[in-house]
Amino acid sequence: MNAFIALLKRDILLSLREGGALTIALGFNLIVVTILPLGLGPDMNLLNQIAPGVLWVTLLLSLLLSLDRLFLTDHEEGALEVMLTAPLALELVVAAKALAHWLTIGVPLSLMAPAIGLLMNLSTNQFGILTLSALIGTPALSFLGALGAALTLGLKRGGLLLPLLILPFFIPTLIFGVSATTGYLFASGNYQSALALLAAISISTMALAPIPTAWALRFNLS
Amino acid sequence: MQLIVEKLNLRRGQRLLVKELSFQLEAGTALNVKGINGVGKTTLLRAIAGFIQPISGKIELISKDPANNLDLKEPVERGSQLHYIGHKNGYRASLTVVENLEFWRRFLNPRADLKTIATRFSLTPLLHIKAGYLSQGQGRRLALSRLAIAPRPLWLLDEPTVSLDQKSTALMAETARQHVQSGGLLIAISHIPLEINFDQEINLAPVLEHIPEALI
Repeated sequence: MNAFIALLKRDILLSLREGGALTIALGFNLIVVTILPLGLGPDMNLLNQIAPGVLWVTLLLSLLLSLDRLFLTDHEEGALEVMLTAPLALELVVAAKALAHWLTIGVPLSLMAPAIGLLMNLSTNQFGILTLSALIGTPALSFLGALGAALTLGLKRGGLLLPLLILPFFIPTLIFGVSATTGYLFASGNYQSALALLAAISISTMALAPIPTAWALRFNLS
Repeated sequence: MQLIVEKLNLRRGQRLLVKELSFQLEAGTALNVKGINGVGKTTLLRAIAGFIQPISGKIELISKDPANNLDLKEPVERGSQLHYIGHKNGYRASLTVVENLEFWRRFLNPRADLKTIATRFSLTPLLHIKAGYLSQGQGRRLALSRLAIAPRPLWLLDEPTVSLDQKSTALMAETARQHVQSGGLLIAISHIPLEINFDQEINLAPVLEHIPEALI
């Protein structure tokens, strides 16, 4: 457990110090949401209607941007070899790294969701559900993303292959994330059950994804 | 501890690199792996570390201690019994030296005494420098300090003294001698003669064969 926390802290520190990934993810998110209304025209009603979809699609895309470096620098600098000979199982190494990714990218992105609400003409009392659903859904994205990052590790154009490989697996999170948000905003359908399903996807992904991810890492390191 | 390698076959891509290699290494002995460039020395070391799956053969690390009858056959279990110092140093360039050391301490062995280790590897004046600014030799010393952080029976050293100055090379040899004398196992690849008495030597010869069909 100590080793798990040590790795988690190190990855958070590295993410804050190297900084680039978070800035790019937040910047990309904000820019897409800002130019979208310009392209769609000033129809306030339309913007309001598509807000949940915009929130989730931009979340997926911004998260993807930061995923390719998840194992890459550790691989290039030889730190993965140290982790392979650590007392901590590789599955837990993977989980610590994915959790650090969620804490440093997923959480800030979720906290920025109200900015999307503002640009999409939602009222302030509707901002809460945006952040809440994003916080519940993004762990699945970080953990699935770690799998994609491990599969494409060592490939020359891995950064381009990663989205193709991993975006389809983001679809369940997208569907339930959007239906939870839509359900709450427009009182259509039961948003609580959608939120519960979203949480179920996140929890099961956090439990299961590290197993194939560790396998992929071992394969790509040999 | 005892390392047993039996009829080991290793590949790199489509090429058979190591063919039917068998050897045994007892506690308190050191092995030198020799051979020309590209003959498979690093591949052999990485296979023993468990990073590479052999196409066939057996690598076993066995504890002879009757009180602690371990039989570590799987690479996963072997991993935490060994140190692998390869071509890459394994520290993160954007962390300072002390942050790297502190991470290794908490990750590998929380009981390690960093102060003594930093003094021993002459890292004390460098502690608050970002590891990315270290020279090649200083970086190598930081990598080698991992050996002292966690006591482990098997050391796999791939060109440990590369870019080290004379004083650090002597320190490395001394560290390795102490490890062997206290019952450790050591396998090293080194082109410059290390001042260690190697008990065994393996001379890898190029294998001029493709992988047999049966093994693919």
